[in-house]
Amino acid sequence: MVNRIMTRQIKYSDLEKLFGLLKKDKPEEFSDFDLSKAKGDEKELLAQFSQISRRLGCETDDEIRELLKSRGIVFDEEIFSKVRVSEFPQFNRPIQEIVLGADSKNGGTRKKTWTIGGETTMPYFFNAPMKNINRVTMDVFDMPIGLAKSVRSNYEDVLDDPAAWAKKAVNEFGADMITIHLVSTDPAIKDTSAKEAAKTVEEILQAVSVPIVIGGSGNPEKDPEVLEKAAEAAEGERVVIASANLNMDYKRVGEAARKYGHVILSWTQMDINAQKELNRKLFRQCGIEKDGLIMDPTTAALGYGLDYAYSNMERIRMAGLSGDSELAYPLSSGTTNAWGAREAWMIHSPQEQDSDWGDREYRGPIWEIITGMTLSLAGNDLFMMMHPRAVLFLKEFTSILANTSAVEEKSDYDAWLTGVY
Amino acid sequence: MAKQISPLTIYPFLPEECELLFGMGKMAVATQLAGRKIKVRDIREIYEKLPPEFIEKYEKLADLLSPAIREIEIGVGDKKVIVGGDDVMFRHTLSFYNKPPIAIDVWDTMTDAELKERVKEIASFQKFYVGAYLYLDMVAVRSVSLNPETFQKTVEKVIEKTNLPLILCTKDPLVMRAGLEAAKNQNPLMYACDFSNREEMTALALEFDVPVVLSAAGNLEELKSLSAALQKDGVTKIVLDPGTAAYGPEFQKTFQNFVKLRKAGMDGDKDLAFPLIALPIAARAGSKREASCKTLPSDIIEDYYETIAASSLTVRYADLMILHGLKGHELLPIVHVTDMIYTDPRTPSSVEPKMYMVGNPDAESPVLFTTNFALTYYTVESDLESAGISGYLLAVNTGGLGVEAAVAGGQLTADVILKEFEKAQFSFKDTAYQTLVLPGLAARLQSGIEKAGMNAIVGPMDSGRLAKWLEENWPPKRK
Repeated sequence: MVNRIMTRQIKYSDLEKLFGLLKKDKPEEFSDFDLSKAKGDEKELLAQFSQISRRLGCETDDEIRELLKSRGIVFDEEIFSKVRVSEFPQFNRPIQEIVLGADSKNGGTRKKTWTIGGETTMPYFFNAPMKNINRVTMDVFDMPIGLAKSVRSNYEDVLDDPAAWAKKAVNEFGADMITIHLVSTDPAIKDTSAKEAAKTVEEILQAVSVPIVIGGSGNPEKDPEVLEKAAEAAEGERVVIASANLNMDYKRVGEAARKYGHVILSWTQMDINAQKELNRKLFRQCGIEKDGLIMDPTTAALGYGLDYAYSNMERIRMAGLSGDSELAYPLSSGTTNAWGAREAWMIHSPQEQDSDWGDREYRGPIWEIITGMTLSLAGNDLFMMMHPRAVLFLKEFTSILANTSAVEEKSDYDAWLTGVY
Repeated sequence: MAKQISPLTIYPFLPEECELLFGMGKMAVATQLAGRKIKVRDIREIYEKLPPEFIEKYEKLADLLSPAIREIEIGVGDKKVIVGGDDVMFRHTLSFYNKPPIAIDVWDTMTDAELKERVKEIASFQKFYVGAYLYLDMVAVRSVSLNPETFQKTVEKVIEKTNLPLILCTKDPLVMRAGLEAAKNQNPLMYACDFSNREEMTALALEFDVPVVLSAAGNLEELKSLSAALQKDGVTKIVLDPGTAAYGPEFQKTFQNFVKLRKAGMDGDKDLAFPLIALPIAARAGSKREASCKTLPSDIIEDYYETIAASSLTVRYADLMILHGLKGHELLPIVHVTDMIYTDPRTPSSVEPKMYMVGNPDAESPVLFTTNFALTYYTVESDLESAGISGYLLAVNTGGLGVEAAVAGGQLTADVILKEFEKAQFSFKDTAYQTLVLPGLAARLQSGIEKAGMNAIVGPMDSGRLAKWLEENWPPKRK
C-alpha cells in the first residue's frame, strides 16, 4: 500500500495527511520523523517514506530504490538513520529577565526600553530559542579622555559635549543604550562634585530617549557618593548603576539603586565565588529585587586574558542555568577593554620578528568585535562598546545567531571551492 | 556527556615499577593519565619494553582513554598536525585538545610567481605571544582549473616550497587522484567526498591511505549516512564537513550544526565522533550580500566576516579551518582565538610574585613593576628582553589580575606596591636614581607612592613602548 503511494505525483498535503495518520497509530515508532523539514525536498521526502514503509514491513520496490540511489541516498537500512542529538538536561532554570529603562507607563521618560536575559540554554544552541537578543550600550565620557586614534576619529566633534556625544552614538551609530562614565569625578583627575556629575546625567537623559547606564570614575572612595547622587537624579528611569564591587561601600551604592528604582551592576574580577558573594550581599543587605541585578565578571582583551574571562563567564552562565539561584542573572561585558590590547591600536608590532600587523584602522575594530563575539558565546547579554564599526558587526552577527525565524536555505556551499577571489 | 575516567579505573593497567619507569608513583601516573596531562600514546614505548602481557594492557588502556572525538593525523614529519581528540563540550570542565590548525588556500590557476609568494607568506607568518610564536599550520590547494595535470603540477610546486601539511580541495575524483599522486607519502587530507563521488573518493582514500573529509552541506542525516557508508567500506580517517555559511542568516544554521554534531559525537554516535572542518573561506564566494556596514571596502567586509565566522566556530567545536585572508587584521585575531580557547584552563594564570632580574641589571638600571598575572608579566618581560634592556621587574601579587583591573579593583594600590618591594628586600637606596617606573595604566597611584617618600615616574600605557620611552626618560631627571 505504501509503495503505491510513493509515486512522484503525490502532493505534499497528501503525504502530510498520511504521515499524521501514521503518527497517530504508532506514535512512538514514528516520533523521529518530521516531515516539515522535508518540505519541498523530494529527496528527503522519499527517504522518509521509504523508511516509514520499511518500518511498516513493506518492501520498497526497485524503482524507488533506483530513484533514491540516483539522488545520492545510501539505501541501506542500517546506515540511513536519523541523527539523534540529546538536549542538555542539566540546564533546568531560566536566567532572570531584566528590564532596562522605564517608559511613561512605568514612571520614566524613555521612549525605548529593552529586556535582557531569559535564556534557557547556552547562547544560540539548537535546543531553545534565544528569548531576548543582546544589547549594546556605547560609552560616553564626561570629559575628553585619551582614546585610540581609530576610536577618537569618530567622536572628534563631540568630545567636549557628553550630550552631543550620546546623541551621535544613538542616532548615527545605532547604540541601543548609552553609558555615561563620570570619570571627571575622580579626585586624582578633576574631582568634579557629585552634584555636578548628577547634572551631566540629567543632560544625557534629556539628550537621548534610550535607557542609560551610569558609571563612576572607578575611585572606590568617591564612587558611592557620586553614584548615589546620580541615581537620585535619574529616579524612575530604571538606569543601570555601574557598579557595586566588594572593594567599596557597595551597600550605599546598592541601596541607592534600589531606592530610586534602578538596576545594579554587580562587578567582580574574574572570580565566580566573589561574584556569588557580592550578589548575595546585594540581595540580602541592600534588598535588591531579583529583577534588579546584572553581573559584570570582568572582560579582558583578546590576547590578554580573554580565555579566563570567557571561561569564568561560561561557568557563571552554566551555574545559573543549572540551578544556582545566586548566579542566574544577565551578564554584562566591558568590551571596550579590547582597546587595551596593543594589537588594537599600535601602528606596528614592537616585536621585530613579527609578520606585518596590517592596517590598524581595520585591526582595532575587529579586536573589539572578536573580544565581544567570544563573550557572546559564553553568555554575555549586554555589551559596553566604543567603536561604531565594532558595534555594527557585533550586532549583525549576534542578531543572526539569535534569530528565531525560519531561514530559507539558498547558500551555494561549494562556491568557494572553485572560485577565484 | 563525555566519559569521565577515574584514576582508579586506570590503576590496574599500570605496571608496578611506576616510580622507576615514570619517575612518579603509580597513583600519580593514574591521575595524570586520567587528567590527560600524560597522553596515552606517549607511554607506548615504555609498555613495549615490558613483558608481552603489557601490550594487551596498553591496548585496553588506550581504548579506555581514547577521547570521545577521534584524533586524525594530517601531514608527516615535524609539521604534522593532529586534529580532534576532544572529550568535553565546555573547556573549563577539562580542556580542549589539539588546537585547530589554520589552513590558507592557494589555487591551481595562480602564476608561479604568485604561488611562490603566497606559500612563502603562509609558511613564514608568525606572531609573538608570551615567549613563543603563533603560526599558520597548513596549505589548502584548490583546483579551480579542474584539470588533473594542472592540479598535479601545482601540488608538486607547493610541496617543493613547504613541508606544511596539505588539504587537496576538489570534488572531481580524477583531479583528486592527480593531486594524491603528487603528494605521495605526504599524508594530505582529501577535501571532499560527498554523495555524488562517494564510491570513487572512498577508493582513493583507501588506495592512498589518507584522511578524507566527508561533506554534506546543511544536511546532518546525509553526513551521518556518508560516514556510516565509508566506515563500512573500511575508511577510518574521517573529518566531517557540515557546510559553512560564513555570513548572513544561514550562519545560524551552520553554528547550530557544529553544536549538534559535537553533541552527537560526545553522546556516543560513532558516525559523528570525528573532527569537524569549518570553512570560513566561504565568506569569499557565493551570492553577494547586504552588509550592514556600507562604508567599508567589500574585501575588508569579507575579511571581517571570515574572521568572525572562524572565531565563533573555533569556540564552538571546529577542529580545523580553511581561510583565505592573509592580512594582519584578520590573522592576528584568529591565531589568538585558536590559541586561547585551546589553552589548558588548568594552567595557573599567575607567576610567582617576586623580584625578577631581566638581563643583567646594575645600579643604573630602571626599576619597574607589573602584576603577577602571567600574561601581563610575560608581555612586559619579553618587551624588555627583545629590546635588550636590563632592569628590575617586580611582579606584584594582585591575585593574578592585570594592571588595569587590579588598579580599578583595589588589588594594586600604593600601599600594596611598597609592601611588596619591602618583602622582596629591594633597596631603592642602593640604586643610582632611586626612582620607580609606574605602568601607564597605574598612573593614578603616582601621588600615593610619592607621599611615601619615593620618586615615581609614569611610564608608557603599553610595555611595547618601554624601549623608546626609556631612551627618552631614563636616567630620570633629578628632582
